[in-house]
Amino acid sequence: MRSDTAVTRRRAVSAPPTSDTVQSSGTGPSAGATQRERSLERDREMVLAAQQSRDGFAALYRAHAPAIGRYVNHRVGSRDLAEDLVADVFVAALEALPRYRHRGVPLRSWLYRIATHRVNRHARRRGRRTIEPLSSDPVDTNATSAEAHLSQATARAALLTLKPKQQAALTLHYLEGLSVRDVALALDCPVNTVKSHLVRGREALRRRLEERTPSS
Amino acid sequence: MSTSPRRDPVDEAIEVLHEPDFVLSENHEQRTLERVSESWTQDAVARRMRRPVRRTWATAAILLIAIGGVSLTASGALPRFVRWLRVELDGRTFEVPLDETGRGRTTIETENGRSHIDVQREEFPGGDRTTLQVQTNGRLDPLGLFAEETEDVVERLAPDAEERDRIRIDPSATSSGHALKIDLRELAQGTRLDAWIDESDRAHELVLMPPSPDLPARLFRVTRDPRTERTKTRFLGSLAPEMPISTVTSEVTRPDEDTVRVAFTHASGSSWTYTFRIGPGTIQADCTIQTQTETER
Repeated sequence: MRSDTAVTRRRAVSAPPTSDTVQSSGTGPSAGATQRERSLERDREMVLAAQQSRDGFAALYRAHAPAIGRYVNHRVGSRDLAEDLVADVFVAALEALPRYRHRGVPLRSWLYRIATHRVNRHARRRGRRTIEPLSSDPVDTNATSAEAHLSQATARAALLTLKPKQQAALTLHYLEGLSVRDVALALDCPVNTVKSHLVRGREALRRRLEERTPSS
Repeated sequence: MSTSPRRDPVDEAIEVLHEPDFVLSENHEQRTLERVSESWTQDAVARRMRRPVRRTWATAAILLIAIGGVSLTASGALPRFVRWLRVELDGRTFEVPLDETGRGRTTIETENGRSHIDVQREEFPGGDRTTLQVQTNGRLDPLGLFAEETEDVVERLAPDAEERDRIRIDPSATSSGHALKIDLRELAQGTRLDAWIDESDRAHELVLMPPSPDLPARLFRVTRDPRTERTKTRFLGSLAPEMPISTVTSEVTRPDEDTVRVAFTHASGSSWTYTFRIGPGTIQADCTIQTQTETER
């Protein structure tokens, strides 16, 4: 759905969440709006096809499963579990398709919304227990604290300790490259609420990281 | 001395977390679309009400006391199909993957240093034993071992989708050799299920009684009227006749009143605790198995 993801992600790392970051990829507001309309039109056609045939639904799956999988994987920190939940997301999407209405919400945002509900529900059922992923790399017993760097496992573990809404907002905006507006659509909340989640989420994440990373 | 400013740790974290090449496994699409196909051909909501337990929980109740700075060894039986253990260390939770033989080894690094975890399985005629060794400078939280079987196991136990609807939990598939089958569909689809979900008729006690070792064990539900103190017993289902249990205890836990635990003790000393979670409208989803082996051998 979006081709400028990499650019957006790279820039969004440092950009404070004060503006809608994705629309400004050099094409201007009107071009962005047109692109969005085209994208929504494609969504409309895809949903129609998915409602009518299994092949149509398979096309929907192929178009969106990788992004949804990546998002869910970030949220739960376990590939196996992420795959289970992604399957649940698409089964739920199929069941909900008859109720899907085109109200300017991109299809992917709608799927992110379902995925967010699934992940949050799973977290509740697990009693808010956060599973910390083990590093796939063997521990280097010769490493010194001075050489220590922020590992993916540490970063993920810190992210997973945040409140679910903060996790979702940070993941969608910074890791999935969604604009603040699209995050708001995905989380079904106002734009300003998303900005609040992002600011507070960053603060909380910084604290967690500082707790986990010994300062040399 | 270098004075280069340190990067914002949040930006650093976001950078290392990027996984632009993340891909789902090869057969994920096929598995998902198979599930979707089921929904195409059947009433999805009705089916969901009958959906089997896809994921059962097994808890290795190898109780470990919180001790820091020492080596710990605990042993007990763990179903072979368990694919990982959950370990709580220094207040954080990790999953230790186990291989197909039920063994696993890993090193976990926390604020208090490295902890080495080694899960080994010893098999002998008539049973087996899982040994967990932990060398840690940190704090291993009290009880902290959980294991969960994978969905694959359920599929292996019941390859056919219809069969899976029967929610057969069969520890006989494990190396313990004990046969125990619970057909939850019998519970879930019978009118007797109504009793499970009726707020005014909530079970206060659940007893599984084997009238005779030669007869099928039977699952009863005992309700007590808090005003009259009168009890009422209803038959809920049967267990396989080959299950030789010696004692049964039960409890309805609080504050989560939707959880019912039933404990079995085998003549050999092994015991199991089954935890049934009863959702609104159905017994549907979560059936927990606990394998408790505190004093075995």
